[in-house]
Amino acid sequence: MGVRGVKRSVGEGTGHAPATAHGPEQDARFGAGRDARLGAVVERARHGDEEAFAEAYRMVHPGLLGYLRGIVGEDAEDVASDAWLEIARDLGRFRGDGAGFRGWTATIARHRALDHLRRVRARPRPTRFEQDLLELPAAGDAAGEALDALSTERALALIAGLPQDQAEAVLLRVVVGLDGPSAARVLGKRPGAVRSAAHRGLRRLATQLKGRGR
Amino acid sequence: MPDELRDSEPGELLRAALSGGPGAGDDAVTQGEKGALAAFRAARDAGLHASLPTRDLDDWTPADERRRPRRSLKAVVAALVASVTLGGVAVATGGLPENFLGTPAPPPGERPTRSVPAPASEPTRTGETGGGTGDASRSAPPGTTAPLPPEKDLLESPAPPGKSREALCRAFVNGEGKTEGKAEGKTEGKAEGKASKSTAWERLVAAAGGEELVPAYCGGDSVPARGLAAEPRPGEEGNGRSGSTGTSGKGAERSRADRS
Repeated sequence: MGVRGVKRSVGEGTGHAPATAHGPEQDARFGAGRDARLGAVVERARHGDEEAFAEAYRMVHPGLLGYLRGIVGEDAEDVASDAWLEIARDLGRFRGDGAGFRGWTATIARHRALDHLRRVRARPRPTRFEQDLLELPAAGDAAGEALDALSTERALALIAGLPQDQAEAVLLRVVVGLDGPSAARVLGKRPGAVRSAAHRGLRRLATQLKGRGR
Repeated sequence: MPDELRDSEPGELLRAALSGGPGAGDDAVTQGEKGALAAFRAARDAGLHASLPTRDLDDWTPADERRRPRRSLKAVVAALVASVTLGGVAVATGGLPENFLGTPAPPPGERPTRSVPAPASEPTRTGETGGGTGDASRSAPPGTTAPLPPEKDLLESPAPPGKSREALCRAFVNGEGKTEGKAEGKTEGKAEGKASKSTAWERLVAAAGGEELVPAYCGGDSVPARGLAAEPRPGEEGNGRSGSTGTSGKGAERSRADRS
């Protein structure tokens, strides 16, 4: 019951927007509508409308943050802020619609995340104990948000169990809400490869979820 | 496909866990948003939004990925339509189909002859054949350009202008001279008969308009005496006399003979 409630509220609240519409009608209508709305808002922001930019931020940020969590873990907030600084600065460069804006921002966020990972790997790793400590607060927050079905910690653990290409494909498609070609462009890969990677990753997640009995 | 992925149960759960509320307390959200808005204002006020150029990685217009195939399809259809339309025009103008259909057989044979007589000699033929096809052959440029070279050859033979006329006459005169020189009394008529029936002779006669007219036709330039010799018909009668007419050197002989 908690799952259902969360799912519904998330679907409406996070700004997740499928780019193409084959699924349940409600989702499709919301997705298309939200992307159209996002496109209009971004257009206004490009012409200097600060309120419009704030709205675009609220629509895009949750998915972006989820994607970054899957890549860099608890540093996602910092990486996201870096990404948004660049997005805010380069907004005039962008050309495209709402779905395109999701892809563009995801590309920027991914570059920031890869930079971050390079930096992290260059410096000495924290001990296992430190890592556990760092991850605890996130788990606590997840519990506080009443995410009974799948905690952020567990979700991250599941994602971490996937090969890198499958993890990223799943995150971009499912969490950011990109369509296949856009996800492929963000990753710099062929659409077919990204599609099969996303499918394999999700299948693997599904078996793990069933195995654990949720 | 996309929603099959996104609406799958693991997808839903993942999205809820990662992009939902966790870690995104109101403070965090507003903090991040404030920072982003400050950066936005700074860039806008510095004119960056107007001045920074769009790079390839910034261009996410739908044409890039989703509509390009549609456009290429349109282009293919447009090309097809255009080709059909232009082909129709070609058929309508009538230049092509005549060659493609059954009619081409007459043109190759007739074109040269038709175009040959057309300028001068035989107007009747052109009149006969020039009914419907004449216009078509003239209107089609490729057809008319090709037959031009053969046309020249045909033109020269029937109506020899200057050179061929000289050549014909020279042959005639030479032939006469030879026969005359060899046998004044022996094979007189026969040899000349053969010579006169040669194709060159026939042509000469045809060109002159008759055997009687040959001397006149050839006359004038080189040998004035030839006219005399030709009068009695070179082929039969005037062997003895015409023999003397052959060259200018023999003109003295002839004059003596006349005197005596």
